[in-house]
Amino acid sequence: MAQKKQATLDSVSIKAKRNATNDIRLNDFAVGQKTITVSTKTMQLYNLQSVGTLLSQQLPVFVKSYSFNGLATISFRGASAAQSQVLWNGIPIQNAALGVADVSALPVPMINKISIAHGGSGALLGSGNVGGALLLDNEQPEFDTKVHKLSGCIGSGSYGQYNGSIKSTLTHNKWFVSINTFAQAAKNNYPYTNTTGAKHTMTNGKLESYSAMLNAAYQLKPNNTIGVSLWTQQYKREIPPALFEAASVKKQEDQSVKLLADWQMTQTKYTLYAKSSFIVDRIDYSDAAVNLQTNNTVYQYYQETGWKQHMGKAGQLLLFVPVQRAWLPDGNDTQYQNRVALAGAWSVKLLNNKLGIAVQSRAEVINNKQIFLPGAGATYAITDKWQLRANAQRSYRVPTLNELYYFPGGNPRLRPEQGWSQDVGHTLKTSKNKFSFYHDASIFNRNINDWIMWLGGAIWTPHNIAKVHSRGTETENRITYTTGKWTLNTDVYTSYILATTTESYIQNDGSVGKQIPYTPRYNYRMNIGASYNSFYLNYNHSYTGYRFITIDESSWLTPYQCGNIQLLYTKPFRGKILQLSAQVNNVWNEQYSVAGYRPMPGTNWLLGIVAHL
Amino acid sequence: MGRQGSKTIILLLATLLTACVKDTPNPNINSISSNGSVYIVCEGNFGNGDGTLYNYNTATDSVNGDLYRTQNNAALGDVFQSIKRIGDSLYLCINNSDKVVVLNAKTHKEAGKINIPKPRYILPISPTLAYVSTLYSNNIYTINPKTLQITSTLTIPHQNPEGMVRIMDNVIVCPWDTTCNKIYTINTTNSSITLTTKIAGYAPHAILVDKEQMLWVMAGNVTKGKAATLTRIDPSTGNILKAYTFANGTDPIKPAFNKTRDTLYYIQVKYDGSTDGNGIYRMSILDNKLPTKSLIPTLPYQYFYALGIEPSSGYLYIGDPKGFTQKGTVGIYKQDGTLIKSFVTGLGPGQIYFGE
Repeated sequence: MAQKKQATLDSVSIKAKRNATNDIRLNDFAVGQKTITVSTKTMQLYNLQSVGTLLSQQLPVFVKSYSFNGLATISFRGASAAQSQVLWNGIPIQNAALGVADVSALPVPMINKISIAHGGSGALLGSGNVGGALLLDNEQPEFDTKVHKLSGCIGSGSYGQYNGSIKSTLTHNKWFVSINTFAQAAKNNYPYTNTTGAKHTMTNGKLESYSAMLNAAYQLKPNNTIGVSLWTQQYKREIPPALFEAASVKKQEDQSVKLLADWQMTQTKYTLYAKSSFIVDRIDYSDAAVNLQTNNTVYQYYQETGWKQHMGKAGQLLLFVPVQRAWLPDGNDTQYQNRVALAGAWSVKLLNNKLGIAVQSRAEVINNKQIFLPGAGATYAITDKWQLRANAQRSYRVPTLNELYYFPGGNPRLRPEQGWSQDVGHTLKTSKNKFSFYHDASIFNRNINDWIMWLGGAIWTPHNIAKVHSRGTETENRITYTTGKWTLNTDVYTSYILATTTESYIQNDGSVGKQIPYTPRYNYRMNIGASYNSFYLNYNHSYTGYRFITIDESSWLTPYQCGNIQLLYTKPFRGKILQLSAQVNNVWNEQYSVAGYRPMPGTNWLLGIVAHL
Repeated sequence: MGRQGSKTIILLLATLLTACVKDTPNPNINSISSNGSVYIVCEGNFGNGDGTLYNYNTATDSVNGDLYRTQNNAALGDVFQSIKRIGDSLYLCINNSDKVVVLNAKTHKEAGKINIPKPRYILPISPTLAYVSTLYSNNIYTINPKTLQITSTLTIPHQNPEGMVRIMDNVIVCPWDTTCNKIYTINTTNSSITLTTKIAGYAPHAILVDKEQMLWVMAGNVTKGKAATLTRIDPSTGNILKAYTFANGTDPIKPAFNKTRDTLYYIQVKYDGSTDGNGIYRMSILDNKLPTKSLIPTLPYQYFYALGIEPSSGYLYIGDPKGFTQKGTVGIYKQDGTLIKSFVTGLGPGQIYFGE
């Protein structure tokens, strides 16, 4: 039995360039699109936390936590949460009724690779890919080896937090099986200061969750593989009171089952693939104080069949047919949403691979309505250290089942949000002596028509009411200095986003010219780290700017900054590998809320130990 | 690093320094100049804790915004439902913050707080007694406005006691419950239910008294499938004098009488963006049919959420919440529906109160 073990830290940089995803569509045909892949080391640092926490501290996206124990959603480049797609092994996993994925309920240990793709790629990824996409992937199966990897992790932290995970991978001849499990419990009884300055301890904040994933694959022939993945989760959460509430008895239980079957055959000239998924999401919410109990279960089936053909020495063609059906039982009635598309992409590398070009298109029928989505992108390497890129895409988002049919308030007359986005950017990579330097900058522009907003009172109803213009810049900057056993690194991510309403169907609408709610103009993320032999110490700092909570900018939340310290130590021990991690979050004890009146914890710590057996 | 390194640094600085718009928002909150005569209850957006109290001074034609925060340096709370003046104090029902906030009517400084679950409306009975209706329970709380204490809890047979009116020593209560087609008369001296009166529909939520001392009860819950009705009742006998049933899907709210109490005004709300059946409606107490045409129609995507009739001028004050996603407005109209002027308020103007 061979074991792959890792005696030292595997990567110097916080984010290393790898293939952003296992998805053929993005890897080979999203030319000109900016992606960032989280390094293995960063994944190790957040091994006991959620994808939402990792993203909020490390990457220039906005994670909106509705409360400490509640739903957390992501948004890119001024897009709404529903316009920011989440893909697991290439399939969309947003709740089909809500149109969003709860990133607080995605544990890092269940995932092997996390990336974000900035900007829309509607032709390749379909509805909801307007601002960008979060890409979650599991490891690619290996065959014809005998590998058995087993690791266990336990952790404990402030406010009654306990976590544990077990991961195992077994490959034997034609078989590949991996199992990931994760469980956590927390009291979340952290201190906070209320609006009058009085100190309190948070109540009704308990969390219990488990997550389990099975990935199995069988090699039919060389380069011909079938696989199946099953991911099941349960989250039981109490929802703490907001500052304007005397108490809370709100509870939420989320259950999800994701089943994915896939097949891929790769030949010299072509690749054929097919994948089918079935997802059930159930959310039970109760608030005994107002006699409220809701149970929502939504189902979605996704099927994609594709053919990739090499054309000449440098060209590739992809044709694929995605089919999606989502349904929401509602009493005696069931609401359906059906989508069928024919999509294609062509990419080519010219001028000795200096120039890369791709064009994409998708014709889709959604409940008998048709839409055509074209796109194109290009990269050009001016030198081996300096590369330019450009991308233009048509994007759209189909209204969710809730927006269409929720009772009361759903609006079946809603039209899809749609528009165009463009971005250009450049990447500089250089190294000299002991320094290496990386810099990437993007400028983006996007116009979306028929932007959907909920208007309400006693009943909330979504309407197509606005045209929204989003534009801004993003930078990624990294400097690494290596000498002897020491490696010092610093990276800075910045984003500056203006997302303003330009037109409204409502007369005298105060939103025109104003920033979209919960879209911070400024986001900064920074890391300063040092590694010596098997030690790694990192200081992480994030800044999130003003978030308006009304569409006319009349009400807002103030900026907040968080500092976090992370320590990782890896040590061989009796033929095994032990990894110790320690984190102190919010070291400056910032009192802040991501959403209004929902205080987040002050300084807190988390210790973990991983044993690779 | 040489020339290429210098270029790199310049590019880096150029892209890092692309901050163009000042991030500090404009507060734009009016300061208080004087006490006005018209209070605007701005509910705020449920779950955002942004209920506010505004005040319009008719003499100076000025608006004073967020009186509570200005005077008390704190947020008022979540879902500001209603306001009532008792003596020299203002009683503010903050529904989703489970409290009644008491303000000095002159200074607007907080004078106290009464913790009551989901308070909706307050009805003064005497200087030492007031009734507080609540949502999601069968309870009506009695409070002593002088001591700011809850003095008793009255339980009625149905949930959601909502609108209340006082006639002599009786309080008549509307339980906004879809299983309820009755209103209850409570004797204030012994706190017992003395009369149960049937109405034309289910889920009564508002009650008024006309110039002939007859009751007008508005009922219905459109989202729960209970058609809206209006019932005129003789309180002395409990007999239904007139019954009106609204068309399917019609959602009338917040009725108000004019000064002479012979003309009833109410809001019909449509949340679907359409203008049909949406606006301010008016009818005489002698009419045998509901009005089919609005007195003040809405624009597309607009609906009204507050209605008050100024006792002295008879002007209509109408609140437009603008979807509860931005600052609302209050329009002042003549009785024929002509707009005189409008002013900006806080989020979700839901009640216009003239302070008595």
